[in-house]
Amino acid sequence: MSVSAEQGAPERPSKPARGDKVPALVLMAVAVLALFLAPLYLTNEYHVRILTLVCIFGAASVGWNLLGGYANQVSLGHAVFFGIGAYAVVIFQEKYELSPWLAMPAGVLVSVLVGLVIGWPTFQLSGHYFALGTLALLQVFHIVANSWEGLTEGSAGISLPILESGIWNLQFDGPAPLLYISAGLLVASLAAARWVRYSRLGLELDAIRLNPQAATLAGVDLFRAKMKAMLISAVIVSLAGSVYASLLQFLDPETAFAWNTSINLALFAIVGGIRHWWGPALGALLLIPLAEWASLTLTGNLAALAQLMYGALLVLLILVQPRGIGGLLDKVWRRFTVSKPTESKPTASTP
Amino acid sequence: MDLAQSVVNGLLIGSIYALIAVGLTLVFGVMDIVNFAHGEFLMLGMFGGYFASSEFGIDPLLAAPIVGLVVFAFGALIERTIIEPIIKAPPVAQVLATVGLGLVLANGAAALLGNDFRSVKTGYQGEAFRVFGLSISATYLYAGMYALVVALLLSLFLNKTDFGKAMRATAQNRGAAELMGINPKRMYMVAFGIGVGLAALAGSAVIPYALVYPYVGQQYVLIMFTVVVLGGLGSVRGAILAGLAVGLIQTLTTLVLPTELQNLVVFSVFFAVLVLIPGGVMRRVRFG
Amino acid sequence: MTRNFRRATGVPARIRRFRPVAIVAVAAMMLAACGGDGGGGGGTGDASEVDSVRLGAILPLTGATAQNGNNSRKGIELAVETINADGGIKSLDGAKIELDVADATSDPARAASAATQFLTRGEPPLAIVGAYASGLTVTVARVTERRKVPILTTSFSDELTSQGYKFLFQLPAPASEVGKAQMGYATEIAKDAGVDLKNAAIVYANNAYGESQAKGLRDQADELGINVALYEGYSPTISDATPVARKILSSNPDVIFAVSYVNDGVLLMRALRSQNNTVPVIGGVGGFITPDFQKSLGDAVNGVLSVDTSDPDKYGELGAAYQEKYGEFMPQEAHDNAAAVYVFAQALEQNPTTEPEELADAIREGTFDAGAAGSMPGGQVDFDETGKNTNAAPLMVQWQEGKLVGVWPPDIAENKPQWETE
Repeated sequence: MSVSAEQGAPERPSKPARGDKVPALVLMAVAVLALFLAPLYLTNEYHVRILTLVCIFGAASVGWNLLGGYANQVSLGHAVFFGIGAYAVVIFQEKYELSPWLAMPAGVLVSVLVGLVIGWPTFQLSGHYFALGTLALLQVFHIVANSWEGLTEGSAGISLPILESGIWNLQFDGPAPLLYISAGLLVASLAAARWVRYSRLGLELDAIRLNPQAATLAGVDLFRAKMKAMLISAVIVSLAGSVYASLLQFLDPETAFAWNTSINLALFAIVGGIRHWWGPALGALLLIPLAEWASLTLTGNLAALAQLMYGALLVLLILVQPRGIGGLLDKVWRRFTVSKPTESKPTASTP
Repeated sequence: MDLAQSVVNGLLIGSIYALIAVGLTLVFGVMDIVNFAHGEFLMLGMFGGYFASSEFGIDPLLAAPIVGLVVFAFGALIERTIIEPIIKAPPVAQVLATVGLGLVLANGAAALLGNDFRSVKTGYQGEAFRVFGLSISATYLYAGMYALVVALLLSLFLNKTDFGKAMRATAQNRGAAELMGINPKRMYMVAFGIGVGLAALAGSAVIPYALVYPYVGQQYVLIMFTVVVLGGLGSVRGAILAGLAVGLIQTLTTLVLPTELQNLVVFSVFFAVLVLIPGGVMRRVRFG
Repeated sequence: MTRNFRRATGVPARIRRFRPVAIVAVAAMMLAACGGDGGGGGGTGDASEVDSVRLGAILPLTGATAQNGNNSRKGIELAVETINADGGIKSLDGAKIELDVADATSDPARAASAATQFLTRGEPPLAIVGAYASGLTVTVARVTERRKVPILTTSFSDELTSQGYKFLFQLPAPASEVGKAQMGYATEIAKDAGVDLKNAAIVYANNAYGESQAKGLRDQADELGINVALYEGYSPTISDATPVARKILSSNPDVIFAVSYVNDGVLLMRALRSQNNTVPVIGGVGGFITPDFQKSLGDAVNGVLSVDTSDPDKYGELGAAYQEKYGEFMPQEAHDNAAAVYVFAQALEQNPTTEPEELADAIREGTFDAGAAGSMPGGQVDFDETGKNTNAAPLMVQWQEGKLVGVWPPDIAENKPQWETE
């Protein structure tokens, strides 16, 4: 088993010097402020809607990254949690006339339980087996949702009734409130991701990523670490799914347990940079508007071309910059800070 | 009788799965890459068989090897340009790059060839052999036999020929293989080419009974991965056995359960096997 | 069995060179995305100075139902072209219809985003046509309902007209009624041929379309006293229909009802044939009435019956124009969507306006028979307060000599059905 060789020094998420932490935090704060002010200067509902989607999937991807990026356990089945959170909202609201605010904790609870149950068998797998095993699980949920009509109305899906606008029902006349809620979720997930990054759990996850055998020898309980990451990410992804259901006001098994959702969570993370707690959010910010643009500009006979371009762009991005935008920013940052020789560690450790 | 008929049908469809999966597992075995665009190469093969029949009047089964060769060359090119750089990338990057490739191929086909569902007409369509009271559809039988023969040939190739052995060597230990004078880059190109060429060949073999449209690859993706993992990533023999097994599971399940649950059983069995026998059923057979 | 993947230090230099290009390209596209979709909220034009009216179409143009989506689009485009060539909306001084098309990609969220984008741009459409599939249509309807913009749809999901939408208009009959007609009419045709149906096998693609129509089939079977020997859903992405066919035949039916798309429909037909099926198969719109179905089955398609939402014999000039332009006969989804465009145009003709809400009132209150709307069942389209088309009446069609013709009920169909048991 070879120890992975980084570009130069081995990467360690040790507490970076102040100088490294600040820029990311500052940028994040600015971005969050912009998000909350957005509805005031963005009068176009469409743009607000796009931003809402960015927040929802950004948050979910940040959650996914806890397992996928930090620990290199690439789960292709995270859409399971997304779907559970989404179904919780539509079932509660349509069948039992309960507010989504009650549904969300229920969704989280179920997701956590599911995470515990599937964690035990899947964490015995590794690498490709883990990825494909989680994918199979997603399919199982998809099929069950399709067949369990008593619970989910089967493939027809559930449409939420049109209710009085208000925060309790999570239905609004305008797009702004949902943006705030999803932005809030994004902030919370970023905070969680950052906290994990610099915590002991983060160290453990990184150790698992770099060399699981060595980590075990060093006393890391692989299973518990992975499980913790899985459960935190399950909570975040489930909440994101719940907000999504409120945005769409409709859900069917195809939408809830979509293979595409799983892929997207991974995609945003890698494009934005999986090594960073903020990476996936950046990836979502970049790719979601891009995908929307593609399907709106090239349309009619050319619709396939739009999707083709999107796919080509994906390939290109990965080929050209596999470390994502985050990796790029790291380089830029390093170029500006390398002149400070007082930094004791080589700035391979990134914020 | 129903049981026997189901077994036969299951084996027939299973051998198609086997052939498609063999290519996928080969790529994984040699290059450690899971190719999410594999279904799109199947689709290309189906189109190849379709055009061979509609433009040149050649039976798709006869055209299959040629179609396979053409896609082999195309695959080698793709490997050189797109796959090679990501061999050392993190697995999540590999996933996404191949997903992107799949999108490009499927939508490229849609843009160039349109969205129509195409189907070939062959003389033996709709015919069935009646043997021992069982009914065996001609098209499925031919495709199934074809698949098995090709899969066995591949196994022979890997085990008996020098080139095949060199490929296995590269799979086991790239460094050592290099030291022995094997060119790993060339191995990768060939392996990927063969892998996707086989998928295309399978496509041409099934087009007599199936329909082709640009997005048909997506239908097969999940089953293929299930088969490959079940048989052990990298094991050709495993893929063959697992393909047959999955075909059997699908058809036998429909005897007792509603059809829409057949994949539920497949995935559950898959998951159970994964957990209970890590590395797949053929884990001891490393490669070949 | 873990492998540590080394960092991607292996990216060759020749590719690395493209890094800046890629980044610039992506940044440019992002800027285009922000800037390109029009500025602030919409403003409607002055009614006295319009030279064009906008219509939006949202359809699945890529993905598994791409063919249906594109057929729908072709029907819409042909209708728009024809109307414009005939002088546009004459009561608005010959204003031409300008069509905007968006790809819903089979993702309900994307469909809703497209609707939002259409309705928030500088020149929003007066109405929307779409979105073929019920899941897509529902999310679009949420957007159009809130903005009080009419949506005309050919999706026959029951749900669309039972949610209390005031701005949704459904041209075909709902799925449950289509299913009932499929069962009821098949029974009548059989009786007419001297056959009493006792056992029916019902198989359906297990998505919203298939399930709701299958329920209609079963309800009617119960009402007619026909035993449902098999009621089985299957995944439309099935790669082998042999087990389904086998199940069907083991249940010993006198008649087989299928609610399928093209792919699974053809596979099913072939599988049935190879197992020597002699029982008639009755299709449920979807794949059974498409050109590709006929192309794939060749002569074997003759005699296959199906329920349909409009009578191909009545497609008339528009049908001929479609055939000429696209080289194949006009499929149901193309025609019915064209009818939606004609409803839009005629409603404007009757009530010239540039306010979507007024247009919606006009659609709700009017009766429409221009162009393709006139070749819908009953010769006209007329909506009630729930948005259902009161004239919607499914009918039976049959493939005869390679062509799809209307065969039942006898008072509206021009041809005679053949009940074939080989």
